[in-house]
Amino acid sequence: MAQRLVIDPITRIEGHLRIEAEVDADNKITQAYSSGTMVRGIEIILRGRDPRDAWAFTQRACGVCTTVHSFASIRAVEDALGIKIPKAANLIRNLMIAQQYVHDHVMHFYHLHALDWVDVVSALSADPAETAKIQQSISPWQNASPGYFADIQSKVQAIVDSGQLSLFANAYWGHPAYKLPPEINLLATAHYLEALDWQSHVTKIHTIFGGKNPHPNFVVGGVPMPIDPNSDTALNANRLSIIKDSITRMIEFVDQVYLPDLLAVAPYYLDYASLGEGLGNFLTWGEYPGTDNSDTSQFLVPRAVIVGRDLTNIQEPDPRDFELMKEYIAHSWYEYTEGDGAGLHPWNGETALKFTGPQPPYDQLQVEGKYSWLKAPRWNDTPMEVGPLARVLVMYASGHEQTKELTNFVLETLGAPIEAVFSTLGRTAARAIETKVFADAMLGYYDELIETIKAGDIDTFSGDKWEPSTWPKRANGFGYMEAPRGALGHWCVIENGKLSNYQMVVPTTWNASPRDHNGAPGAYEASLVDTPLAKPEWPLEILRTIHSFDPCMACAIHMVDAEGNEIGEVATGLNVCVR
Amino acid sequence: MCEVTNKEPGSWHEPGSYLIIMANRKIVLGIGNTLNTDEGLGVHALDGLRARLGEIDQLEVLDGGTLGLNLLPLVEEASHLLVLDAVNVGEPPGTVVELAKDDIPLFRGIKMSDHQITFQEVLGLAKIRDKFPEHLHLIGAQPADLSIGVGLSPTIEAVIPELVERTICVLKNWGIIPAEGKQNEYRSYNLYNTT
Repeated sequence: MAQRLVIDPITRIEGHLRIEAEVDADNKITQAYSSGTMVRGIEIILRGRDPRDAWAFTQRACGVCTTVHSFASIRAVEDALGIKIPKAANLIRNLMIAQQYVHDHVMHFYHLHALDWVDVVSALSADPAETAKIQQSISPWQNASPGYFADIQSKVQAIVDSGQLSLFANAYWGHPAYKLPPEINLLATAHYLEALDWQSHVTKIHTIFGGKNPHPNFVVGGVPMPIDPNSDTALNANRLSIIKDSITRMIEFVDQVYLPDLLAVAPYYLDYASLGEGLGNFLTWGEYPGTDNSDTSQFLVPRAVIVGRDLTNIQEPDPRDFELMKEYIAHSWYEYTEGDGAGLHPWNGETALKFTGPQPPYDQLQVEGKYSWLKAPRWNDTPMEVGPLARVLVMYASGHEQTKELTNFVLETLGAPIEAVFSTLGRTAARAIETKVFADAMLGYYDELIETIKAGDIDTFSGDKWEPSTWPKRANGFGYMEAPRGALGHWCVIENGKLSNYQMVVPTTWNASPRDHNGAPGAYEASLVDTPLAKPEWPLEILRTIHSFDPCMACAIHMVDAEGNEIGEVATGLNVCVR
Repeated sequence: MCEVTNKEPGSWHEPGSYLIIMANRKIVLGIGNTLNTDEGLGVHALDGLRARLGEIDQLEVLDGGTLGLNLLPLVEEASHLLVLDAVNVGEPPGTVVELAKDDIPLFRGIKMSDHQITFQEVLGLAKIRDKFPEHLHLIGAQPADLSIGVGLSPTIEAVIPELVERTICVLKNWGIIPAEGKQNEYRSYNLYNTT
């Protein structure tokens, strides 16, 4: 073979995340700063466009989150124009959204987060017979023989020997913070590989409902796939049976693999049940509407705010409230016409870029000034955490039976008090709990869809407000979406048939937010404080907590000691997470 | 793993089974982010290809966007996979790059987010799972402009016809579209500078 060229993949993610942490003499984090180092310009692109087309642009805003940005966008336009979508369309959307959760969360657990806890190299020294015994004791999952695990072991050995595997090669193998016995490491590694096969079977629901895959179609007013039992190209009995089978397969994997694995791994990391909390404030926009897509009282996940861990007093936030929902830029590379101290509701939002930071590459952020491309969204001037933990707490606090049962079951199994949910481990457990809730909910939506079709209610599209001539001269819309990684909101303003403003406040903007005009830190920044590091030059502990939020961006981590001297730059020094 | 073979591209499996895994797919896959100007050149090139070829029996022309790991099933179901993408080879903007199967580097670094799984990583996973496409080829270009925007830079707009021609050349070589005369002779080169 001729000379090999070095080809760097061009980055295709919406932005990069940079974390700077200061540690004291005992290697405990005292301050952390979170910075988005790339700008996302979707708001600029959307100005002046047809609101019915916005979803096709927003779906490209963020790597793999195509579905959630499409839904938030069409809901924002439907809200602005007062469009109620047909019952069957809501049910189909709920099925697509729930599928996305189950798929996303399983992949997050096994392909991103697992390597923070599971030492793949240690799996090579596991006893396959002992691993099989553990597997059989925790779940009825079929792949549980000593031979099966021995095969996995030789597969991993072959990967290691081939040297062709940054897949497993560049993590912190051998780090003292890895605590699992080799057998559990082997078990989890086996499921890492199995989940890749599983995803082939579960992703194709979107092909059916969206008409094509990748990048299914969406439509303002409903769903693009008509229901017609007599048509080969519509949603018919054959396709419904594929969907039913796919749901069954999802539930099976969650019940028999994901949840049992979580409970097998967690006992070794109970120190993370009291680390990584952060804010104690939580926000959800809510998800899974009933018949009426705008009636929050019918949501499975309520729209709610929790402040200061207080589960007894949850409030419904109004995303239309100009006073309470604001984005600040005191520490963000933007300018507002009213000045840096102002906060703007997204309908009045401005996206005027103003970079004042140092030219990269730089050693440290100037954290006393502006240091991020993310704005600082705040509810009632209070920073909020969004995501699985927020949703599980909101469902728990509002009395959702299955959520309460599952949460209590997990806590009892781990012998942990309820306060343990406010932690890195709590976030990771909440993700598994809601996966189970939403996977089971799919069966209900499926049955309801079948009943709806049987009753002859087969409309999937409401077209009476499709034509711009039917629209008001000016209209404001809010599109909610509980994306897998947290509350997502799209705010649009339609004037004379075109978008005059469009603002997205995405989950990672809430969680990775920089400090605001009051100096209050965002969720990531707060969650890292007080975390002890075993080896500051290998800050695995930081990765665990940041990954528990499921960040939407690539990340570089920089460590400085009390005097401000750089002690490690993970991005380049250890070849972690630069891309 | 049970797989349905000899299914036509895009066809649905028989009712009563959830195994809608397909095999032997012949795919042209454009990848990249169409909101960052030339980053989306692979996706934009698909339009040129469709305009040239129209519908071809047994050939799927797919927009892979930035879907990362979600593209793994598709890669693993392909017998023939031609990837169109923006690539950084440190050459002048507009440089067209063509890489044959064995020259495509697999894997890069470690991931921090599900969102940053590169396509090379997807290929690497398919490889270690023994589901690597039998025929694989990459055609790309060095981008000129990665700033926010939905179109292509003039530099890249100008090389799209060449990307399309090279794609057609590979498809002919693979026997997916009929070859006519000598002009379709397959040329193999790693790096080809158009300037």
